[in-house]
Amino acid sequence: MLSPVVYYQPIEIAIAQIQSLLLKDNSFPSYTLSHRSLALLILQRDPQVWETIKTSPYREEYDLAIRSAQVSLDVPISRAIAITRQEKAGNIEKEVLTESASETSDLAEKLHQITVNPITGFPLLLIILYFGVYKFVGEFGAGILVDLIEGGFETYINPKVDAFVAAVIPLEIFQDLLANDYGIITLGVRYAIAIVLPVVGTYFLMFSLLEDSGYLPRLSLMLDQLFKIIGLSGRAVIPMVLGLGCDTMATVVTRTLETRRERMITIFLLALAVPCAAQWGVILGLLSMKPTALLIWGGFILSVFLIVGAFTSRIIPGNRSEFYMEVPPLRIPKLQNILLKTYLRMKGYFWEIVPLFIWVSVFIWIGHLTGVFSWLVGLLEPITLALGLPREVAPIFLYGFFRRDYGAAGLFDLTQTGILTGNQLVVTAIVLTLFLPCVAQFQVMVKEQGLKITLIMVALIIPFAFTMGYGANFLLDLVGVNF
Amino acid sequence: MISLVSLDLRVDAIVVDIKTQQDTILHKLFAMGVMPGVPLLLEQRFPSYVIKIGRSRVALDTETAKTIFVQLKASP
Repeated sequence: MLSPVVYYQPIEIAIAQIQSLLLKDNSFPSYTLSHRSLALLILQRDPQVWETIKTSPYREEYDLAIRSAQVSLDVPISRAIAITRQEKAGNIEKEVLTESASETSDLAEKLHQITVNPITGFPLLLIILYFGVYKFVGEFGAGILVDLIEGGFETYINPKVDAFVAAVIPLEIFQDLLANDYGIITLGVRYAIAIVLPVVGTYFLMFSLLEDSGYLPRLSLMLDQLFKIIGLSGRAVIPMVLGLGCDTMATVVTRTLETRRERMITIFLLALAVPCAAQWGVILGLLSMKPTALLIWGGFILSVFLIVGAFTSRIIPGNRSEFYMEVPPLRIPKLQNILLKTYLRMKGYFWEIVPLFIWVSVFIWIGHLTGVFSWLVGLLEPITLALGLPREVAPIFLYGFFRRDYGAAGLFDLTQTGILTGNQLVVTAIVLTLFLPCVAQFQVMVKEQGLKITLIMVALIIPFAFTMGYGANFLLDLVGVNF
Repeated sequence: MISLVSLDLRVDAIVVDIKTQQDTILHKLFAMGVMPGVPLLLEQRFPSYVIKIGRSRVALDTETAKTIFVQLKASP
């Protein structure tokens, strides 16, 4: 039923010439495309195909075929090809499609208008943030679920593990590896399951819901102008929002951005000023009793995000990024798909963190045993004290390097003992949010940007985080605020 | 022929040209169906340009909207 697409004559002639060249040319052994498709890619100067052609003995002949086709056309070849395809697609559509009177559902159309009209769209965004993020992830995930699972560990699992390990393993140093204060099971596995998983899981659930409903492209177009301030475009909104779940995943997703400059700025801001779900979930839980403290923390991080972004976009060379994005129709998400996506993301996340958490437990154990750990903590202590924080916070900063969430989880533990004042909590939260990317994020940063750029970013981030903590503490003292 | 930025909202138009030096933008616009000869309807300008193009919808910033030139569809 479908006839092949026939292009303008000069293009068809060039295709025939290139096809006969391809019969002789052995430069494309691994291609499974038909020669006609390959010829079309060559004609459109597809960068990947031309990478191969560079080494082909027939390079000149290909080039000649393209140029002689171009001479007889009054539009660029790629445009001529696109126009023909568009016409063909239009004809096929006319043949097979019958339209009823009401083309799209009125409700979906109205909803679309509500999401993209600035008067209704921005309030809607705040409502989604409040219920989806603050209420669902913050209060339900980081509050109720964490308390429930954490309580279960403290009451039922940890005492049993401690007792069992004490009975089976005679030496106390080896008992400490598995159980007690820093054990693999009592600390590493507990952090992973009780503190991190509920927060990240609820966030992924919400993210999948927004993703499948088609809301995210609308969020991009609403925030494009804001993101232009920081040298990015609306396209960077999606990795940033994903970063609020897991910065490591988001760093990988920056590949969808168009330019190297956009990727670099996004990766830097993700590392610096976008807290992952485990981080902000725990911080939200800790500060929720003190709304002003929460607002100060949030306002501070958002300001850093915008100011540093605006500054970075001025010093990194390159053009501003244009924004263009297809806006798919809004859809009612399928529950099954959302659950499957959330499950797969959680599974991926969980198996990534469990080994790391175990390693951190082992490292802390070795560190304690050899004294390296207390030496490192000793180095951090003066800085900690300069920030107006008790020395007990120093290890948290050290944990924070291994995993952002691990540091946050440690902070959660520490606060349970009631050692920190409100101000100190805000300062610690600020430093911990800005502070280093975790080990996993560091790894993917190296993969995406190379070791040199990653090290420069890290070298900027560490002193910056502590300076900001110092500044925040100074400002709070100056204004005389106490929470 | 007028630029998309000076087109009135909700007026039937047809794309006549895309004027840009950047091939990447041209290819992306083509891939989304924005190309000469296609009917276009401007839906809003702020916070981003939203156009209906054939059966799909595309969001653009002002810079990209400036590259698209349209012609009013003659009223029947």
